[in-house]
Amino acid sequence: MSLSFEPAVLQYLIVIATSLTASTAVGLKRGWKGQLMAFVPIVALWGLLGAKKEGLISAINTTYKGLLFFTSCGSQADTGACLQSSGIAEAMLVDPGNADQSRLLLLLVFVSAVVLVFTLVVRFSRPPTSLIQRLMGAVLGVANGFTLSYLLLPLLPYRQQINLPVASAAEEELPNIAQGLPSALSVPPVSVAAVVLVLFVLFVIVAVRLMRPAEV
Amino acid sequence: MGPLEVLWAVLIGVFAVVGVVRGYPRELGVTTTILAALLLLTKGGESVLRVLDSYLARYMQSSVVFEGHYSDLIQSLFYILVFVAVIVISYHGETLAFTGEAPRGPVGMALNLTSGLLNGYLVSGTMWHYLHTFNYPIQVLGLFRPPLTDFAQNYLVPLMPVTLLEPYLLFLVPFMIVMRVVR
Repeated sequence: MSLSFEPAVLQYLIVIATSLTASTAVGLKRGWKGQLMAFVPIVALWGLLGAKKEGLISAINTTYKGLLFFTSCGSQADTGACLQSSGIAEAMLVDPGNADQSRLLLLLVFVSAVVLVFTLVVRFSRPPTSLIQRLMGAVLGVANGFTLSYLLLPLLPYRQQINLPVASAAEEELPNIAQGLPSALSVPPVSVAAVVLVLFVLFVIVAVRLMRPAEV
Repeated sequence: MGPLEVLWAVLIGVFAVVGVVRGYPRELGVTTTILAALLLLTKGGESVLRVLDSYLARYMQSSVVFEGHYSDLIQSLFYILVFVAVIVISYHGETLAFTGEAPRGPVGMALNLTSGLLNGYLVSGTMWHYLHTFNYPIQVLGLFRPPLTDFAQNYLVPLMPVTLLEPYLLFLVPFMIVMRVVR
């Protein structure tokens, strides 16, 4: 079976590698107890998000409408008329009918919650007392990392490239040089992106590791 | 005006010098801001333009941003000016700077230089991307005359940061924030 290397696959790899690394690191630092403390709320939150997705989107849209109302009609004498004329009643930040938008919202909420839980566990739980506990934490961390990536993968966006609107009016008059350009690069863009990503991440990690404490 | 890649290289050079002078802990803060700005622009830029267009359409009786004679120029300028504004704000202060100092000696110098080059690549490449996406609308203003050189067409356009990094910005922004926190 051949696996084509495309942006979606690279996204998969990033999610799996990040989940595994983060979860294993938490397991090593805080043992199997820390792992459980992190993972029970994560799985619970995932279930909650699945069950209450519509409620979350509705709450976000209601808050958005409230903000719009406050900024647009807050100073108006006739707020009812303002509400009708400005179209605030129909405004929405996340369209429930748009699967991409809903998925992106869930992804953002879920990733934020996972980062928060991991940070809290590393910050406030006790370190394991023995090497065995540490190793058990790491093993559980690997298993939990796979589970976490399994939860995250369905939420990923699969857009392959930016798709911005290009108006046609000026194109008729200006030479169209931006489209159909030949490329001398024989490697696919996603491979170049993978190299750029790896170099970038390595540079940041090395740079942060080499930083000296600030002198007071 | 000379080839676009000369301007591109000069901008990267300027950012490299700035990186050497300021040090990479501050530059990494700017990198975080740049990536966040790219994420916002790629995910929400079009929505903001649509809101702006519907607002203007009330007064102009037609779509100005998406269908007018200067629609490409307006859209391109919107993305570039918002991006430049974010860059100016991120350099004006130390809000997201990483806490710490660069190591002394050639290693620190190399890291400072690399971070400056990285920011230069992200900034100048992003501005070029938005010119490219909208078919170089600065032609209208007489600021650029086509065609692009072979070198730019073959090697620089495919390496623009937005095209390469757009699908992965959702990972890179949290990564930078996490690196700043664990620091």
